[in-house]
Amino acid sequence: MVENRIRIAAFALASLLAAAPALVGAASAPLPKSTQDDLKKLKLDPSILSDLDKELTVPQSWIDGAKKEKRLRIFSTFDPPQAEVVLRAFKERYPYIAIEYNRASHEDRAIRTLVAFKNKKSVTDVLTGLGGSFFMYREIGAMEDLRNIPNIKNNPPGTVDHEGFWVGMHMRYWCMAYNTRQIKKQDVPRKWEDFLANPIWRNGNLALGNRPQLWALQLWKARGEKWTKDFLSKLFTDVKPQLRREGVNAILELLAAGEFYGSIPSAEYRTYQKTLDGAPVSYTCPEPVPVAVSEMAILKGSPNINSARLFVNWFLSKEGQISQYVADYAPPVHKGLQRKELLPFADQIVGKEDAFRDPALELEVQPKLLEFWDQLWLKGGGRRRSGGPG
Amino acid sequence: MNESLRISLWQHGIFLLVLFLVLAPLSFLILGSFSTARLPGDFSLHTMGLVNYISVYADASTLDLFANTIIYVGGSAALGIVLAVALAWLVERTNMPGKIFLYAGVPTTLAMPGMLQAMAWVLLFSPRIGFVNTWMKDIFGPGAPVIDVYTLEGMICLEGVRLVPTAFLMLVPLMRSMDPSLEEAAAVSGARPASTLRKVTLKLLAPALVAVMIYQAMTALEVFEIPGILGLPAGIYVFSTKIYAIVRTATFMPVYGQANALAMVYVLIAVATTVLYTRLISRAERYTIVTGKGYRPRQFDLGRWRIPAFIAALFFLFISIVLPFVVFLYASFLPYLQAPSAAAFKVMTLKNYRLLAEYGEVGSALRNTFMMVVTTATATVALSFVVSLVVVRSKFWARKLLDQLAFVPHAIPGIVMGIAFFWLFLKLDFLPLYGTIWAISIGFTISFLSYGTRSMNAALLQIHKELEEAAYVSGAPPWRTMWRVFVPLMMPTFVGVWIWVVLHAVRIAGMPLILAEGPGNQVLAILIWNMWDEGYVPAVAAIGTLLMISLLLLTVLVRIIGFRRHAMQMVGG
Repeated sequence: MVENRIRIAAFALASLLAAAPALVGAASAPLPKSTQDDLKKLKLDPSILSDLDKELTVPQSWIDGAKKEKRLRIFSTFDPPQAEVVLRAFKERYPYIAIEYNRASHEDRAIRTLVAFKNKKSVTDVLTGLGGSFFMYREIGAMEDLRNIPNIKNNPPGTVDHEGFWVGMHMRYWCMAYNTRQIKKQDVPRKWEDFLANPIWRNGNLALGNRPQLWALQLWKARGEKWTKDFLSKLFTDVKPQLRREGVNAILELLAAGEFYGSIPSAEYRTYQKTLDGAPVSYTCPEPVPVAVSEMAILKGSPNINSARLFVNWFLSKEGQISQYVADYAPPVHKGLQRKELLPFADQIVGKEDAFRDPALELEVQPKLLEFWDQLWLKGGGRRRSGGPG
Repeated sequence: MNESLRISLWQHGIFLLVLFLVLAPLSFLILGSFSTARLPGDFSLHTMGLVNYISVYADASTLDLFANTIIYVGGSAALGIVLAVALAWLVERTNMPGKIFLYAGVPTTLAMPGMLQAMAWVLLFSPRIGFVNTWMKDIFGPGAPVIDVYTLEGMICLEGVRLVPTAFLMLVPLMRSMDPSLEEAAAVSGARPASTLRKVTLKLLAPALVAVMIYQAMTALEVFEIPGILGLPAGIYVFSTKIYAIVRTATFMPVYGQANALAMVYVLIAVATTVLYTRLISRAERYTIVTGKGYRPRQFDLGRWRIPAFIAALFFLFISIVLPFVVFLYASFLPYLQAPSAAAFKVMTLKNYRLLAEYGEVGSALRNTFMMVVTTATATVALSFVVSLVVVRSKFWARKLLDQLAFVPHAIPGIVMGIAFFWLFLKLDFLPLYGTIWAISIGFTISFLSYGTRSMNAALLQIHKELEEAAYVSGAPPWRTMWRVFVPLMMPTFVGVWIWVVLHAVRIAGMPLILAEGPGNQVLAILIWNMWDEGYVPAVAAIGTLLMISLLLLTVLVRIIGFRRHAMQMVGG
């Protein structure tokens, strides 16, 4: 009898615990329709967003301010149709903010915005993907301090600038893509040294983009200065890769067309998008896996500062992170969403030794790496990175 | 206020406006070349020096830059003139069949934007994945010869082909109205046809050919799109692309002063070329070959070469219009870039066209482009008309200077004008123009002013003064004279200039690339440039296909208007 009662009580407790997330969910505000669609598309249980209301709680003054501003300008790397998908849920939540989105290349995003800022012109509020240009923004104090954004606490350590000038918006695994018609399985590199050993990569069959800070920086951290310099020297002199001036997306398009067999660096999300188009490309990560985050920042003196804060906070919430994954398959940075089903080519990444590009690495090692890289690049016939003559 | 004072005020107002719009940006361009500050916003008279000139001209690579530019400009102008002379000679001086196709087709090639043609050539002749090179490899094996478009030769070939239609249009009337007596004399003296062609025909045409070639060289010097798309990926720079590369960097803050310092040479070369051109034109009467006699030059019998000549001429049209269009049409249906094959045709999709409808930036770029071309064309017509009115119809003390001022921008490349206006709009920040579509409109209006005023000057000279004198005697105020006399008579010229400006403004990327600041003033040419640069090739092909169709239709419209105007003039006597 007593046993039965205990069983019943245990069953009731277990049922209650199992239903708890759903009950909390039921008690919270209804999800925007686009978020519900996103969850369905990804086959995720709505309970994953159980603490969303808490994540989206912000000072009332931000909301009041945003209602007055009514406008938000964003420069980012999402293609416009993808941006539509990213922003659907935000627009439903904050219908009083009209968004002007602009997809821009690195030059347009980082350099033109900075030139305009230096000339006291404001061309955007939110800016993403500053990459190697961040130090110039720091120099002139062009960024707002984002440490008051509630959801930065969801980011893993090292994915927020120590002075709060940028926050990581999604993960990037900068490895390599290859053409599946030209590379057989046995030739797919497992570690970085394989590029030096396997002759298939020689004589222009490998393409290098001029963005060493995306991947070589992490190798420097994991293997040290000497190893990295030796590796890069041999890569340039022995393998003789094609030195491409195009951006990483254009290089991926050329890879699919067969211009070369493999390309470095390539990101998992873009390669995955190409495979969905039926392109003969795939992705692999030699060890150690270079990991980074893309940065998001708010320009200092932004006339739409409250709308910008609302947006950054929303983007770092689980809802924003899921929206951006649905849009372009970029792995979320949110600690609660680091799972295999939200990581394209997970089998090529998870379980391998990785090397993370943290802010300290960017400040200390990046200038040395760029100086060394530029010598190799120019010697190899590549185009100068800076704008000076030559 | 009496009438003459009011007219004088108007004339001074127009003069000052043109003086400001032409000289203010150029002044900033010159001053900026001495600025030691990296950015225009940091410029002050206290930060002046020669550092930009030293760093630019002490650099060994600048010599390569000079050499590349000279080879590129000289080579493409020479190729363009050879092809144009051959085509003009075939249609005017031989019995080649099917001439109507060339009369109609060659000027139509003007409609093809250079940027899209260069992109089509990349798809065809990229060394590893170009469709032509892929076919060659399939047919002849891995050792097949490779055509590499990313070379100076590739740039020269394409620019040479692009220069043909303008030269053709200039040469056809000359060939048509040549006095055949000297050629006939040579023939009677027993000279062979080829020798007559070389020693008589071409020698008679020599001054005109030199003038056309100089004009073509100026055009090649100014063009940015061809060396930008074919030269930049291979690190082959000419002046226009080097200036662009200096101000558009990926990692470091650009040094605008260096771009300005480099632009100074560009300006000097262009101005010197203009002076030479003007002098040659002024001496042209020494070589008069058209007389008052009515005659028809003798037709050269091609014999068994008639059909091969026709095929060769059609081949020009094929590579200029048909091939780029077909390549773009094909690529626009691809999910990703790939050479033509049965497999490629199986996976064709309308995705890229659907994407255009969803791509918010396409909509805003179209709106911006529409506003930009309409305002630019209208402003160019209006400003050119009033300037020409002062130059041709008044006794204003500075009318010659005004005419020269209006001509100066023709000698300055778009990319340099872009930088000049960039400085102007940043420094004169009380004018809320920086980053707006109006900034591009103003820049283009000044650039096209020389063409507009040349056309208006010629048209106004044809209207006899007695018409306005009759209106004046009848008591009509000047505005009514303008409205009732000039506007109706000038309407064909207005429409012609308006459409010409639209055709050019819609496809030039150089100046908008410098003045673009974001979605607010991004035009179609910039969108295409950026999307190409970032690898969205099939999407670019979809936009390019639609743009080509629109421009071809517009060109046909121009031709129809041209024919009507010709018909009107014929009727008018």
